[in-house]
Amino acid sequence: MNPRRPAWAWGVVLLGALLAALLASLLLGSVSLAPADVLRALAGRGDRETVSIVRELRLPRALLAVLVGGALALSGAALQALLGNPLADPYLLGVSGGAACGTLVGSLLGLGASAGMRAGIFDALALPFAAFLGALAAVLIVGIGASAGGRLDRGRLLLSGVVVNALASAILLFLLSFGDPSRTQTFVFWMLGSLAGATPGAVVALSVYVALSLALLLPLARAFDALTLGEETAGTLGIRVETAKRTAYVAASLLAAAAVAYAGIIGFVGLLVPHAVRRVTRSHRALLLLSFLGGAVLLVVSDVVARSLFAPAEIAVGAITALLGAPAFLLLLRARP
Amino acid sequence: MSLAPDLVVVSKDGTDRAAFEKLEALGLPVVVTAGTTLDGVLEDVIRVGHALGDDERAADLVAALTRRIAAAEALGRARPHRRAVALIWPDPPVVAGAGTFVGDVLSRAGFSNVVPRSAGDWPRVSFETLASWNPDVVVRPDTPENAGAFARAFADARWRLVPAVKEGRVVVLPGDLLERPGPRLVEALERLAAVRVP
Repeated sequence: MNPRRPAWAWGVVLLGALLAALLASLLLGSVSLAPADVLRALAGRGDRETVSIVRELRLPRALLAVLVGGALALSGAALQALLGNPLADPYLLGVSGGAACGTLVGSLLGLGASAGMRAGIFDALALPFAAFLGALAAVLIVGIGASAGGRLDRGRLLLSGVVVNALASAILLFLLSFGDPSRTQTFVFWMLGSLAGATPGAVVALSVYVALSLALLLPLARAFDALTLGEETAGTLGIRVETAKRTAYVAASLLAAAAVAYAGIIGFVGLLVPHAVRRVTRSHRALLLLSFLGGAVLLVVSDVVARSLFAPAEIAVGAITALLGAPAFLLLLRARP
Repeated sequence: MSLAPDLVVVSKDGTDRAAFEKLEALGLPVVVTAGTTLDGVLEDVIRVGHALGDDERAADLVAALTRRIAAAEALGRARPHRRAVALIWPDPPVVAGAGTFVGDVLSRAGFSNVVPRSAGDWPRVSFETLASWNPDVVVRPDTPENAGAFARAFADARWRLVPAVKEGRVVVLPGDLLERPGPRLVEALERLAAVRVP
């Protein structure tokens, strides 16, 4: 990698990779369709069955992968900037666990049926919101554990995140043992991380949450840049540090929550992607945008692999991200200058 | 241990090997049932009967079951050829492969299983895969635990891409008959063999 290549050039590269991955995701499937037919079906032309397969199954799934992958990576990038700790990730900080609890409680209360099932747009938006409440609860507990004298102690955050994660797992198990058994199995599959719940409603709902979070995070890029110099220096540069941290935490939770509500718990994207991106840029504005693109590429590719590796059987996409992510992460660590 | 059983019957499928070894180490008589086909289930009957010291009744039961199986198979063969899938869970779809006792019952009832052997025993598949297999019939177990899940799932637009579901060609069998590798599996076979599909 050439660190002197400007960030926008990497953006173009990633955008190209994303388009190629999306195309592969739309063209590959158990029903073999000619590429020309797929492209025609995207525009709504061709025979009804092909149009249904492309527009109701393949397209929502590909777009959900873009949004979930992007959201997880963006959330990871924000958390890492916020905590000044490259190990930060929604999964490790207990945010995903809290979101999973929120989703499960919301679903047990009858919100949005099961992970995106037959959801109208209200239902589709309600489930991620329940996840968000769960994530916020997790964040609050982590915050209480990590605050010292009214300020968030960055070192203690990670530790209390690990504890909250364990707590969330316990609550999930508890809810699963007492919840409606007709949902249990579906939830177990969902918790392993899967994009099988993709519906057009899920895609629309997730884009709303992603857009909202981007709108919160991008203006914070300058604050993140300043935070790398330390909190006191950032304060003297006129950054309202605590406000920036709280906003970023809320946005990162929202992103992770929305992703978890529709795709379950998918690890490594939030950890790996911002790491890779930091090798090519130091600016947080670029870091956030490139992380989104990188996360999207990683998850679209992982889903294509999860669908085709043992076809017709599907494997959990979370297993693929971990299999690709763990070695890649170790390589990145070793290659550190 | 406090229940002092004369015999412990353990299903191999879904049981931790260590738990079974522990039972044996405790000196309890253990029989492991491992039937993955109808014939395997009959062998299990013989082994359980033997462990209970009642070989004769086991042999009688197996003889009766064998006659019923033969009759059901004849009935299934008399029907025009149809392709079927046994849908074990609807969301995400999980189906019975050819190497399972459910798959065996399906094929002996005269259906060809749309799930290729290479897919494994209980593969999780996509809606698109199910649509491409396009089975003539969907067979599903009915239990108190899964009724809600099936009702919600089949109302989902994506299931309408599977013509058998869209057109209501769904055969519902009690889960205790279809999903338990025991003698009642023969009743599942009989009911499936009697199914007539337009």
